[in-house]
This record gives sequence, C-alpha cells and structure tokens, in this order.
Amino acid sequence: MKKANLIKGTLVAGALLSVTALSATPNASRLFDYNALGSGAEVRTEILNSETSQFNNYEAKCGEKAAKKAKAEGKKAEAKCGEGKCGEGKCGEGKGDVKKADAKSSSKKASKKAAATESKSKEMKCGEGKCEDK
Amino acid sequence: MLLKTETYNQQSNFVQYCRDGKEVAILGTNPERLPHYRRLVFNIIKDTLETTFPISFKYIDTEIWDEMVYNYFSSHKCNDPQVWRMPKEFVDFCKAENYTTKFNLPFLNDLLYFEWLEVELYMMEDDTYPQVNSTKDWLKEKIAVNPEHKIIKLEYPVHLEKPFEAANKKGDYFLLLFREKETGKVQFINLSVLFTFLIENIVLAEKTLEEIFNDILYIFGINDLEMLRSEVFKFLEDLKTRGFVLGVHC
Repeated sequence: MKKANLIKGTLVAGALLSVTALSATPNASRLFDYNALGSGAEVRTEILNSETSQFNNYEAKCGEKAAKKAKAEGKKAEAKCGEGKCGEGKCGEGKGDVKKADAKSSSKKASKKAAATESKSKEMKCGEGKCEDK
Repeated sequence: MLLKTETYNQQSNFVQYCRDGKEVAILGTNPERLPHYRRLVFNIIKDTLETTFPISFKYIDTEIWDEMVYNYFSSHKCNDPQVWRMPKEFVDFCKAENYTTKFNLPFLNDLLYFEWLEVELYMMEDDTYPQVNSTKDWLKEKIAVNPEHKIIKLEYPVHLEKPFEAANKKGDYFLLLFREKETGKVQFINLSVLFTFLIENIVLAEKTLEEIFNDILYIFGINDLEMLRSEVFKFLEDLKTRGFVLGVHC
C-alpha cells in the first residue's frame, strides 16, 4: 500500500507528502516529542506574561509611542464614553428633569412615589450627586 | 407577525446606526440619547471579542484591532443569536476579509482560531463517552479516547509563543485540545507529526494499535519497533493520566 493512501485525509498528510517534510518541518524533527501545555488559562498566562507588563510598556514607550497609545485610547474612549456614569442623558438634565419625566408618566399617587424613588436612585448613580453640586 | 413597513424601516435604521454609528433620522428619538444605545451594544461586542481573544487583543496594535472590530460589527450580519458564538463569526470574517495580508499579520487566522477553540470546546454539548475496559492489552485492541476533543494543524506556533515571534516560524504544528470530564477545563497538548498521526488513527478506531504501529514504521521509516512501542506506550500512559486516553473499547 502506498504511503499516500495511508495518510490520505489526515492532518499530517501535507507535512508527510512533502519530500523534505520531516527535515523542514520544525515541529516534526523530533518525532516522539510532545508538550502538555496545560489548561487554556495556563497557556494564555504563559503567552501573555512572557513580556513585561503593559504598564511598563507605556513607560518604555513614553514619547511619540505613548502619544500614539493615548490616541488609540482616545478612540477606545468613544466606546467607553463616560464609563456610563455621567452621560448627558442622565446627568445633564438634572434631578428635576428626571423627576418631572417620571412624574409625567404616571398619574397615580403610588406611581409617583415609585417614580420619585427611582429618580433618586438614578441621581445616586449619575455622577453620584456631583452634577447637583455644580 | 409581519411588521409595518415603516416600523421595519425604523428598526432597521436604528440597528444600522447601532452597528456603524452613522447618523440617521429615526422618528421619535432624541439625537443626544441615541449614541448611548450604540455605545451599550458596541461595548458588548467589544468586550466579548476582547475576552475571547485576549492574546490577539493584547498583541495586535490597538488601531488595527479597533478597525477589525468596527468593520466586523458594522458590516457583518451575525447569524447566530447566541452572543458567545459571535466570536466564531469574527474569526471567519477576518479570514474572509483577508486581514492577514491587509494588516500584515500572517499569524492572525491561526491565533484567532486557536483562541476561539478553547471557548468552543468548553461550551460544546456533552458527548457520549465510549464503554471502555482499562485492563486489556492495548496492543491488540482499539484504544478509546475522550470524545470531547479536537486535533488541529496550525501554520504558526501561536500556542507556544508570542504572536509576532511565531510569525517568523511558519511550519506545521499540531495541537490536541480536549475537555476534562471532571473540571470542564480545556487542555492543550502540542504534538509531533508522528503522535498526531497516531492519535488521528486511534480516534478513527478502525485499527488496533499494532496495526497503527505497522503503518508508522512504514510511513516514518522507523526501523526500531521496540523503541516505537516504548515511546508510544509512555505517551499513551501519560495521556491516560491526563484524561484523554480512556482505555480500550469494550
């Protein structure tokens, strides 16, 4: 039986069909080698930590690279806009607006109470009262 | 229930805005509030991709990564409703868009695929384990293995090194991944070409180990059968302790 038939359809076919495969393929030069890399977390940690931390990177690249990074961060900031704390929608309109809007949406007394409570809790989230101070 | 054309158009415009951020007129919306919807949706996509591909995210230039993610989210219509499967479509998208060439990241397809596979294997449905007998002689039997596994071939050793170092080491790399039954953790084993051939044949369960040995001797031009047996048995014993080899089929 030909070699080609034996390895047909296997992952190693490409590597073995090449005449020089065993010598040219780095991973095949040692036929009985294998390496248990561990779990996904271990593999990732190994690769991710195989250089200095990102914090150090920023320092090392201070200057134009750092500026570039800052620019990139700025691009990121678009998505992370305000970190969801002090967006214009909540904070800009102020406590009164929220209260008004909530009060409008309901005519019953109980609902008003609930709305007021809700608006209070919103106020707490939104800038933690900093907007009001301003 | 069919939507009214106008409703459908409104929803489509809104979805498209969430995806590409290009301003559109949507009835009854406050233009100042609209960006927050996009921000919230886009953050989920970004976060999911960054979590699924931590190595890619770390080593690929931020601007390139952001462009890839933006292009993907704005132009690719995801087919799967499950968010955790969405990164698979990102892998396919990057491949289809030929980003390896466009961004000069030769390792990109391998790296994304390698990172995705852990999620896929971790999340896969439970497979039926075969009935095994662990006491019989391996040589004359068909060996049974953990069915929750995958063997892949990579062009770049992205599982071993930092991506940009791996980029200079193009070759044939073989990787076995399997999910541990008890913990659910995905284990990675880097394999030689010979062991890959061995495992592939074992998985097929068409031949006994002895028959596979004969093929190996012929294909790899090995003369020393005893050495082959010794090395393979050591390997299989190790895989058994790790939970990949289960025993022999009953």
